[in-house]
Formats: sequence, C-alpha cells, structure tokens
Amino acid sequence: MRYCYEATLESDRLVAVHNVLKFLNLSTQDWALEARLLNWITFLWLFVGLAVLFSASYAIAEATLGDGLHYFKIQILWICLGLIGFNLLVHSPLRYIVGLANWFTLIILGLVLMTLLPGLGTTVNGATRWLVIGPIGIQPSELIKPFLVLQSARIFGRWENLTWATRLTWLGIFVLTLVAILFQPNLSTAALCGMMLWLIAVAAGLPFSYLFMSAGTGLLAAIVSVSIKTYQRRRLISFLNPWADPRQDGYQLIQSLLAIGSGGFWGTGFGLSQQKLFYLPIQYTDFIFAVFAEEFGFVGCFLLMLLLATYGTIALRVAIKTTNRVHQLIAIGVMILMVGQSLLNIGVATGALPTTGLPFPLFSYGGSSMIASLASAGLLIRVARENCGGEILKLGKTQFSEGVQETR
Amino acid sequence: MSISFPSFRSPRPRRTAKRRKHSAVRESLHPSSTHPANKRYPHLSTQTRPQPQLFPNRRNESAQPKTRRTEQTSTRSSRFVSPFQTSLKRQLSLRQSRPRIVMVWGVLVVGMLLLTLNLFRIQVLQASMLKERAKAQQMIYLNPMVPRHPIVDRQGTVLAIDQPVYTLYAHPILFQTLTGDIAKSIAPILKQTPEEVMNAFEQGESGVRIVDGLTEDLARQISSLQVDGLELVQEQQRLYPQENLFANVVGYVNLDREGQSGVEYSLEGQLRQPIEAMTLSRSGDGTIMPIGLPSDFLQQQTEGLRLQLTLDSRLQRATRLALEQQMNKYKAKRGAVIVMDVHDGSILSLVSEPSYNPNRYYEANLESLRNWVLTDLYEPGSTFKPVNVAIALQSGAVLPTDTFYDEGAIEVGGWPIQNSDFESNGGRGVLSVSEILQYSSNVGMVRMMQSLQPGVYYGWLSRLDLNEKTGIDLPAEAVGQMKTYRDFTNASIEPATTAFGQGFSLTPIKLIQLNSMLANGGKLVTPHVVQGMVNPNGELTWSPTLPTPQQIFSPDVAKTVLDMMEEVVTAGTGQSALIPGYRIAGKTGTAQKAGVTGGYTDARITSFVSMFPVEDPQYAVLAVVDEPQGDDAYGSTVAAPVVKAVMEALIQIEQILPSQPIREEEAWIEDRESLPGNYVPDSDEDAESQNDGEEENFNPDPFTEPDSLSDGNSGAIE
Repeated sequence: MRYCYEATLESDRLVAVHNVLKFLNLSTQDWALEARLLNWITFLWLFVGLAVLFSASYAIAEATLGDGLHYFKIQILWICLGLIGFNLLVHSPLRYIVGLANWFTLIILGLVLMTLLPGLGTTVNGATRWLVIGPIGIQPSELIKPFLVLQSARIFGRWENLTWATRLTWLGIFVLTLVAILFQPNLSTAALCGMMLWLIAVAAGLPFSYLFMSAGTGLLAAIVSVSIKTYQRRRLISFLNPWADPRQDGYQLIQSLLAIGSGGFWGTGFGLSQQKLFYLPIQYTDFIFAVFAEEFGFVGCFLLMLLLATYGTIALRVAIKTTNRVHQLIAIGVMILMVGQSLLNIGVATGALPTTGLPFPLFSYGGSSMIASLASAGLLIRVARENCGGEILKLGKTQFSEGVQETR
Repeated sequence: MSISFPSFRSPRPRRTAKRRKHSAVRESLHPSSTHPANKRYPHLSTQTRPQPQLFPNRRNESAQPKTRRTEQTSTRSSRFVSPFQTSLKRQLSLRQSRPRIVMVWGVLVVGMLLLTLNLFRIQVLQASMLKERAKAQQMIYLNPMVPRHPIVDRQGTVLAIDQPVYTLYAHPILFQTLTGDIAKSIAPILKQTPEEVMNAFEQGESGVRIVDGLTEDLARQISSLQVDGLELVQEQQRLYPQENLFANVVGYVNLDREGQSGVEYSLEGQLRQPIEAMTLSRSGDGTIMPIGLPSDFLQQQTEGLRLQLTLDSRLQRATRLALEQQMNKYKAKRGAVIVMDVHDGSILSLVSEPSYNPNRYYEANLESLRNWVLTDLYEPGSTFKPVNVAIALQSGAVLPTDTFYDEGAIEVGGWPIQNSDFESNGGRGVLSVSEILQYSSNVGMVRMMQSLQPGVYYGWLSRLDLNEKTGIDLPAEAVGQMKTYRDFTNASIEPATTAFGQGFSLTPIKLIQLNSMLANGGKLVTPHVVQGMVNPNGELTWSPTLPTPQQIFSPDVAKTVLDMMEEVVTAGTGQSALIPGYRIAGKTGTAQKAGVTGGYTDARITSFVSMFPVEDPQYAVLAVVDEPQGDDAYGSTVAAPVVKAVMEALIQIEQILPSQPIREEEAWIEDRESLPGNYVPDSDEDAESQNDGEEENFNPDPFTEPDSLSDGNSGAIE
C-alpha cells in the first residue's frame, strides 16, 4: 500500500522535477485500472457532452449572438481551464489537497456570501448566483461543490477523532453554506449540496439518529423555504401536473417532455432536435438533457444511463478498495456529485422532480459548473490512483506502519 | 454527549484488518480469527448484532474524546491515540462503512433504474402522444388563403383580383382606456358615429365584429392607433373592378371563395392556386423552417400567373353601352351582344343584359345572374336564313342563280305562312336567292328549302350540331332543340318553318357560331373566352385545347352566301347597320316568341347578325334584343343599330381600314332611297340620316370618355 502510495508520489515528483510544464501528462500506463477507466469515461462523458452542447446551443447562439459557435467556443475555453485543474488534482497527493480543503471551502463560502451582498452579486433570472469579475462570471455555488466533498469527507471521515467543537464548527459552516446558497436563491444547488453532505455522512457511518435528525431539519428548511418563496412553491406544484398551466408554470417542463417524447425510441438524429429551436427554454444549460433525449432517443438515454452507472460503479469500486476513510468518502462524494447531479437533472427534465435549475455535469454550458465537475472527476481519479489494490499486501507492508503514515 | 460513534455495528466483527482485502467468501470461510485484536476486544468477537442493552459497551469501543469511561481505553484521548488502535479502528470503520457506501451507491442505482423506466414511459409508451403534441406546436397549417389568380382581358385590364380586406373585431374586456375615447377615435375611420361604435362595443365583452370589408388603408389607420382590444383579421376578397361589365363572363365567387358562375366557375381549377393546405415546420420564435417545403414553393408564389380572356374591355364597354341605350329606348326585357373572331372562335365581347355587380352578387335577382346568351333558347327567325341558303347551295339542290316565286303568303300542310311585310307589300314575285335574303322573304325561303328532300335537309341540320353545345368555356350552356327526324320528315310544315328560322330553338352563341361559318370558309369553330394562363412576361403557360374546327360548307358556298348577306346590308333589310366605306354582311331577324301555351305570341325577339369586312371576314357580331316594345321594333330597327355601333367601336379599336373611300357615302344614300320596296321604316331612315350627319362628330376614342360615346350613339339611335 505504502509502496503504491509512494510510487504515485514518486511519479508525481518526477513529473514535477523533469518537466514542470509537462504537468498535462496524460500517460496513464502506470495508473491503476480504475483510474484509467475513470479517466476514459470522464473524457468520453466530456466529449459527448461537448457534442450535445454544440447541437443544443448552436441555434440559440446564432439567433441571439449572431455566432452559432459562441457557447461552444467558450465552453472549450472553460474545458481547457477545467482540464488544468483536473490534471493538477490528478497529479497532486490527496493529503495536500485535503489539507487545503478547509481554506478553499472557507474562501469560496466567502464568495457565496459575497453574492448575497447588494451590489456584488449579479442577478440572472431572478437569482443572484453570479460574481462578475471583468468579462468572466463565476458561480461560487458551483465551485464550492468539490471542496464541500473534500471538507465533508475530511470531517465525517475523521468524525470520531474530532472534538465536538470542531464537528459543530464545521457542521455550522456546512449549514451556513447551504443557507447562503438557498438565499441566492438557488434551491436546487442547496438541495444537491445538502443531499450530498447527508449521503457522505451516511457513507461515513454516522449514527442514523443524527442522520434522520439532520434530514428532518433539512426537509423542514426546504419546506420553510418553499412556503416563503412563492415561485419555488409554484414550480414545485407545477411539476405534478404541468399540463394544468401549460403557458406559465408548466411551460418549461412541457417543452422538455415534448422534446424527450419526440425523440421516441431511436431519436431524431444528431442536430435534428426541433424543440431546441426556441421552444425549450435554456436548452443549452438546464434542459440540455431534453435536447440529447430528442436527438438520440431512448437508445441514447439508455446508453447515457449506462455510462452514469459505469461511472458510479467504478467510483464505488474505488471507494471500497481504498483503505483511507477520507479518500473513501471523497470517492463517494464525487460519485454523488457527478452521477447524482446528472440524475437530478434528468429527473427535472423528465418531470420526475420539481423544475429546478441544475446543470448536467460536463454537458451543460457554464464555466463554473465545468470547472467544478472536472475538478471532482480529477479528485476521484486521484483517489483511484492512490489506491493500488490488495496486491500491495503481498509485499509484506504492514498496516501498522501505514496507519502511522495515514494519521500523522 | 453520550452517544457513541458506531451506531452501525459490523455484522462480522471477527474479520481482521489483515483480511480486509479478502473476498467476502473467503472471509466467511474463516469466521474466526486469531488476530490479537480479537483478544484485545473480546466483546467484538462475541457480539454479532447490536443489542440495546449493550449500548454502554459500544460507547467504549468508540474513540470519543469526551467519553473516557471505558474500561479498556481509558487513557485514550483525541490528541493521543495509539497508532495501532487508530489503525485498527480505521480498518473497522472502513469495513463497517462498506455497506453504507453500497447503500449510497444503491440509492443512485435505484434512482437510475426509476429514471430509465420513466424515460421508457415517456419515449416509448407516450412517445406518439407527445410527438403529436409537439407537432401541434411545431407545425403551422397554411390555409389555402392563397389568392386566386387574377383574371384579365386581352389587354391586361384586370377583371377580377384578390385583395386583402380586414374585419375589425373588438374585445372590450381588453380595453385599456375609456371605451368612449376608443369609439371616438375609430368612428371617423369607420365613417360611423361614436354612438354607433359604442353600441357595437356593448354587444359583448370579446369578439365583437364591428365592421368587415375594411380596405388596407383604413385597416392601417386603425392599427396605427395602437388601441388594445381591437383586432384586425385579414381576409382575401375577390374584387371585380369592372363591376357589371363582365359579370356574365367572369362570374363571381361565393364566401367560401368558390367560383359560382362564369369563368370563375368553369376554370376553378386554373384560378385556384395549386397550393393546397400545407404544413410547415416552425421554430419556437415563429420562424418558418425550410424543411418539407415543396421544391417549387417559391416559384408557385412568385409566378404571378393571370388568366387572360379573349375579351376586350374597351369593346365590351362600347358594346354594353350601345345595347343598353337601345334596350332603354325600346324598353326591352333583355338583350345580348356577342362579338366573335370568325376564324378561331375567340370572343371579343359578350354582353348580356340585365347584368349584376359581382362584388355584390348577393343583391342581384336570380334572373340577372343568368347568362342567358348561353342558357336560354330562342327561335332565331330570319338570322338563320343565311345558314339555310348555305345548306341549299351546299347540298346542290339550289344554284345561286336559281329563282323562286314569292306569293307573299302560302299555306303549307294546312298552316298559313306569310312574309312579315305581306300586309304592306304583298307578294314580291320572282326572287333570286340573294333577293330572298335581302327582303327576308319567308315564302321565298320556304320555296327554296322545299327543293331539298326533308330528310336531306334534316341531315344537314344535324351536321350543324344544332342539338349540341358549342363547347364554349362558360358554364351552364343549353343545347338547342329540334324536331326528331320522324316529325321533321312527316309534317311538311316542319321543314317550311325551319326554312325561315322558326320551329326549333338554339342559343345566341350557337347562332353566331353557325353564321361565322359563312365568314370563315365553312368551318364550325368553338367559341371561347379564355386565352390561357399568362405569366408576368406575357407568355402563355397554359391554354385550353380546342377541338379542330369541322368543315361543314365549302369555302365557295360560304363566300357566295356572305356576298348575298352583304347585299342585305347594302340594299336589303340590314341597311341600318351600314358603315360607309366598309363592306359588311348581315342579316336581320325578327321572330315571334313561342308562348307558354304552345302557340306564338305577339312578343318578338329581334336580332341582327353581321360579319365584316366582307373581303376578308374577321368578325361576327350578333345582337339579340328580347321583347322590344313598339310597333317599329324589328331586327333592322332595334338590333342592327346596336351591331353598327359595335362594329364602329371595333373599327376604332382594331383600326380596320375601310374597304373603299368614304366619299361613296352620298351615292350610297341615293342608291338606298331608290331601292324598290324598301322595308326600312321612315323613322329608321331618319335615324340613319341623322346618324350619317353625326358621323363626323363621333368621338374617335369612346373608351376613355364613355359620355361622348353615349352622346354620339344616342344621336344615332334617335
């Protein structure tokens, strides 16, 4: 185990020493099987998503900006930026990353709180989710996701080693984050982060009494939020029967259902969605799955589900294999973030969940989401790399020494 | 805080850290382990299920820093944890958390399965319903509101055209300002009082029809007011700019824009744009997508085809004016004029009175909606005599030089037959064939046609297709009626009456077709009003196929009869149609009308048929005036002046040069006066001389100034 760990460290040091610029080292020959598989799947997911974004965004970009490739090109820029972060994470020892997680979490929480300050946040569609710095708009609530994974894994993974002061401090910070996101208002991201934290806590093995209590609190908060914000309540109700008000509240969902249904079994073919032609709202972000479903049909959706299932299962394998609690929870957290968020997005598009604005990881247009998703994927691959499997035991390394190493 | 960490107890606490990587099967095969850890925590090896009573024990195994009441690890603190213990604890919690991890994964997998099932429901089970709904919003259904092709005359003058009109609807419920103010603002545009508009607004709160048939200009004025709650709905309306003038030829369309009469009816297929109801894809912002369009969509839209008629609106106007005046003068019931090209059967003018305004066809009475030139049969009388002469000559039974004795009145088969002027002139004695026509001698005609076997005569009549349609491209043409072969050959009165044009009936259009044979070398041409579809460059893109004219008479016979008819105009009953300098052939006709009970009544139908110029015949003109009132109402007095006016107009329009210098005019008048037994009544003679005098004042361009024409002609007629 240690050999594997140090070998990984060694290879990273070599990379750093030999060629600092060559950090985009994509040679994965020496990686663990899971790491390589995850790497492949992540890039497959990324490129399929890019193709779908091209199809979904071309018409609207052409119509509104005069350049059909506008969103596509910007997305590629963000992908490049995201891949830098991805490779940094893949090639950095997790303990360094985990060590920095608390600071990053706090910094980005600061940014989330800044969006709430009048004059700093930029309001789009009634929600103040953006911080605009020069020409670039960032969504701190998206960027905080991977750090929430890291920090929650760190806290829940070492739960028994922490004082109640520390536990409660961090729990308070998590709650503050959720509340801040909720107040943007961004119910969907808040819900996703809440569920993610809760599921990580479940995976960490926290007592069910805690878990049910927190779940109840979260639900209560959601109910309170929904009853205060009428727009959230209307959306929540409208998803149950969108046809009741097809022009107002039900509009988005109906258009999405029409798109998905129009796809039928085989789909209309790549680029041939008609619903994306200004029937579907925000077809290049939140409802990109509807475009995908129309163009690729049930067959395409099934294959996408298969991709998600494969990704989730490999993530589970990585989590099971790993000997480090924190790493295990990071893998689980990333799995929830990537697969769970995708499922929530699909659930929204298919009317199984209330209509909320949640991007589809690696599909939807958006820089913050792309960077956060690629960073998350990078974290999982890093976990897989640092996790070389049982054959290490045969080398006679004791878990005792390993334990010392891990807990220092 | 007494609650310990592992609320979840590992079901297999005996598993050692050493074996944690082993498969579950292998682990289950070795349930007991000898690892020292088991000795260290003996209770772990014995408890396989969490027991409530063991709750305090579980507290002990946890690493809670604040609970230092455990027996085994009382010295443990959060700051100092023995590496061995920590490691072990971690291994334990790793193992313990594995089912938890699988549970979280399971949550996702269950979600995935449910969503896949939901997708299956949407994309397979409900797909057709959703597709249909999507199509309903993505497709637009183009109504066949595509305009009908315009109809133009041979000059390109528009006779019928589609124009957009607007219906104004009000939705008072949507009014943003005071209803009274809105009424005040739109009332002047609608040419109504504000009170009237207010009353209309009070009819309902939505969808109140205020006014329809608004022109584009007025509609624009209303829409520029930008009043919420007013709605203008566009419709296509067929407009007939010439109003009554072409009603009997062009016809009209009903509210469903279907042709109901005239060319609008008979050429419905050509006039209706070929674009039927069409579905087009549309994007969400309303843009029509170029998918699934017919390949010639734009061509169809821009072709700008028009249906061109052979009629000439200038001639039509002059013709109608002449006819109307004469009808007014004689208080006639109805009248008709046909001008036809003798060579190809194209009709240059077709007027039938009474007429109607096709823009307001719903106000017309049913009688005037009928184009009686085609629909009504009448006994042609003397205008049929030239055709009989041609039959007699063509059959060889009669030579042009033959003579016949006219007793003035005879009896055939028990029925008396006499000349129309028998009362005044008595018998005329020996007459040549030409003279029979000149004097329109009934007895002479009977004698001449008696030269033919009735069967032979009947055979010739049959060849003329008397009981068949002419094939004109206008609807509702009636077929002529003639006796059966048996009736015709058995009763000698039948050939006798037929000889002077009674006892059978035909339509005016058939009569002009028959007479045209004498001018075109003996061919039976098909009368028609449609030239074809023309594109904006004036090229014909479609034209009706007409049957090949049938040769009935030889050109020689036709020419001979035509020359005889010229003498009718120069020296006989048709002198009132004479135009100085022009060689005109003609024949008058004054027939008794058959009554409802069977016999003949006093009512007459007067007609005049004319072909000119004789040296190179081009045009046939037929005027029929039904039931003119007055003792002097004859073909020569009622119909012939109409034909003359029409021919004069034709001369102007077609710029036909005179056949001989006009100076001969004086000589001709003397010649005519010296004619023996001149049939022309005195009043008519006066009219003629007046007309001659007026000739120089005749407006050379009657079409731009119809009033001048009216003056000129009224002089001629009175």
